[in-house]
Amino acid sequence: MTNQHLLPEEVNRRQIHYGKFIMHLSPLMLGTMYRLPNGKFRKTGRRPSRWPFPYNNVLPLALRNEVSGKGDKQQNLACLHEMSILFACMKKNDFVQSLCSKEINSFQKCHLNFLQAQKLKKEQEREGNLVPYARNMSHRQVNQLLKQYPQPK
Amino acid sequence: MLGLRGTLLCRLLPEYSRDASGALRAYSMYPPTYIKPVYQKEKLEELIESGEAKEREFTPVRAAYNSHTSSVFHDSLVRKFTNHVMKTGQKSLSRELVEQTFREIKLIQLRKWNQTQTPEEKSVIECDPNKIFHKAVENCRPLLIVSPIKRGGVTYQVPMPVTEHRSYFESMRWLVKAGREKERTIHFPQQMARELLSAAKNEGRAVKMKQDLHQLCEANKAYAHYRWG
Amino acid sequence: MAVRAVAGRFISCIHNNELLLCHRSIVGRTRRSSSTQAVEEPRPIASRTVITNPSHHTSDHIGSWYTLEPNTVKRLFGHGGIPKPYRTLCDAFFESSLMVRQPALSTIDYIKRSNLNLPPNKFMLYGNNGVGKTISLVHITHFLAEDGWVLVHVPVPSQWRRVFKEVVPSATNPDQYDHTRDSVMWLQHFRSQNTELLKSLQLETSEHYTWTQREATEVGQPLMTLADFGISRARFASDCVTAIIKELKQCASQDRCKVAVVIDGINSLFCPTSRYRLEDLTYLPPDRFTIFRAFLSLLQSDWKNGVIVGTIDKRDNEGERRKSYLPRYLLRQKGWEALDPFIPIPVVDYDEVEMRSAINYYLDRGWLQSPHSGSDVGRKELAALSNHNPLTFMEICKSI
Repeated sequence: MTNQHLLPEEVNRRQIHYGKFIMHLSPLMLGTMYRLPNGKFRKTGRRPSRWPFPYNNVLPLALRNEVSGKGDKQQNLACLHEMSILFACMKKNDFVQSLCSKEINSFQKCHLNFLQAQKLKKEQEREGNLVPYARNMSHRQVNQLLKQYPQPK
Repeated sequence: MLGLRGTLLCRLLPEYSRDASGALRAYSMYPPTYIKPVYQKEKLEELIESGEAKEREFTPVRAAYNSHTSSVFHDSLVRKFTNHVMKTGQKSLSRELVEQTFREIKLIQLRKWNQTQTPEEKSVIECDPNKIFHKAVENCRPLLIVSPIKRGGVTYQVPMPVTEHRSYFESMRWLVKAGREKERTIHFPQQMARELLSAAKNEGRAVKMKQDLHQLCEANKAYAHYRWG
Repeated sequence: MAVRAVAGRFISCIHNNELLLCHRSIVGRTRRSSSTQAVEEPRPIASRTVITNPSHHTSDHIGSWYTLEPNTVKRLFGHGGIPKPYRTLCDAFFESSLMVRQPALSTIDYIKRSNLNLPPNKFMLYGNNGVGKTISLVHITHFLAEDGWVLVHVPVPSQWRRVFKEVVPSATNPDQYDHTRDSVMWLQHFRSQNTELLKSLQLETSEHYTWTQREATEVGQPLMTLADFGISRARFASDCVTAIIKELKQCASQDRCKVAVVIDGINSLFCPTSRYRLEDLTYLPPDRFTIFRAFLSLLQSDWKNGVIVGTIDKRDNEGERRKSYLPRYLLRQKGWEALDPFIPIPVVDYDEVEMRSAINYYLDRGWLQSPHSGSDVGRKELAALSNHNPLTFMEICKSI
């Protein structure tokens, strides 16, 4: 509340420059911080409590030498098509399994393949070996490469 | 990360070891250098023939469980089922109950078998309780299961494929559940025998439970893409 | 004294027979080639004997199975005598078969050679749990029935001590207690076993029995009228049992019939306590039961033309006195004196030939279903697991 009546220039003055980063002295109230899109204030008879926040570069504008493993998470959505075929068959035959043996086999085969592939991938990830000319790499492999060839400074 | 940490820990501390699936087992009694015992006579002979026994000669071996047996009448699935029947660790009781169940199956089937005269009719009647049991378990194995998954504050029952291990678990769980749903005056082995016999014929309550689950999966097929790793 | 001499001769026979048994077991039969793999071989056929009359069984038939006629089973053991687990198996197999074994053969042989003009010989089968005492007794009972003996068969006397249906103070003797429903059941058993024989023998009552002011049994009535009366009037059933036994003893002594007393678990008669509690909360000693007194009177040596066959069983004693299966321990001083002199007949576990025959029989009837059970390894395992004990063998086979 202390800088409620201050102008933008004054706000900037109350920020502390710490190396490259800028620190704020008081917590921001985002709901009342900005003007409306037409550049005017809300017609509430009040001025905004705070002036818009200026751009500050918190992180340096450069790529890091590592990637997180988040994007590598398993997409567990295999065999949806086989499942739908199976459901169709089961519904048609009143849930008698013996009449849908073909569909059941293909579904189970698909699931088994998926599980095996998943297991293989996991093992490879754990080992982290580089595969030459691989199109898709795990984060571990990418990290290993990035370690060898870091980003130019 | 885990792999590296696990290997390190395994090397440093004997109470960390890996099981068959490669997962880290903390506070295992044995260091990872110890191998599992081979207690079946046939497998031992195989090992000797293939020459693997020579390699194992100086490898330390874990102690065998007291449920490990080299009996020719032993069946691992039956032993698993015994554990499903068991309550509060009373294994000798549960084993007795399973044996009584098999006895009941034999009595029911043998009455039919000895009553019939012609060999053709006799060959149709299956009297082996072990085969009946295996067939019953096989018939109750589900193809799919539902798993509760929360999306936007709502919990959906999402159908997903089931692993082989889990399907056996569900099958035997349902069979035991069906065996326990009975009148007070009927003994568990009798009810269990009836359930196993009807499940072997693809009837009965355990098979019904499986079909109900399949129907639920079918009804919830729209949620299938909510599946989550 | 004469009885003792007879007993001595019999005991020497037992040794001879045991030698014979050993010889058989050594010779045995040649084993099949060993195979660890389960092979679907044709089911072995049980070694059976077509001779259904037990008096024709000889030591050549040891280990083979003979089948009782369904009618015979119903007549002789319809009200008890065959243990329930065995009966269940017989029901499932659609036949009641017994293995011919040495103890029964010896006993039958001794009975045939007994001098009936002397007081009755007492043959006591004894042995550990589950060795086949009761089944041997079934075999002997069948022989006695075929041989024209009037049967006084008590299948489970320990029930009267432990799990009786109803006990009331006696109507005739204030010192005694009657089993009502149990006595009726025994009378029915007696009637079912002996109706035809008693008709041909034409035994009659020798006394006038007054039951109440209106009800009485006259002199010269057929003996079965006593049983019929007891069955219809449960209150006097125990007294009817006493009367029948008294009449039978008298008839036998007069050479009009020969009476066989068969008691399974005879040591039960000499136990000090029953489970019946009096008003002062003391347990009634079983010798104050009317029917116990009646059957004990049969064990005395004051009659002839009789034979007494019994088993001495651990399980018929009370819990604290089951440490040994030997007769002196189980009978105590009282029973030992009451039965003295008796001929002990040991019943032991299966030998190799009998074990093989038992496995073959179970395979033949489909009771052993595992494909391994007929193989050499399976047979060895069955023999080792059961320790050649018939009952244990039956138990371990239940899930295989």
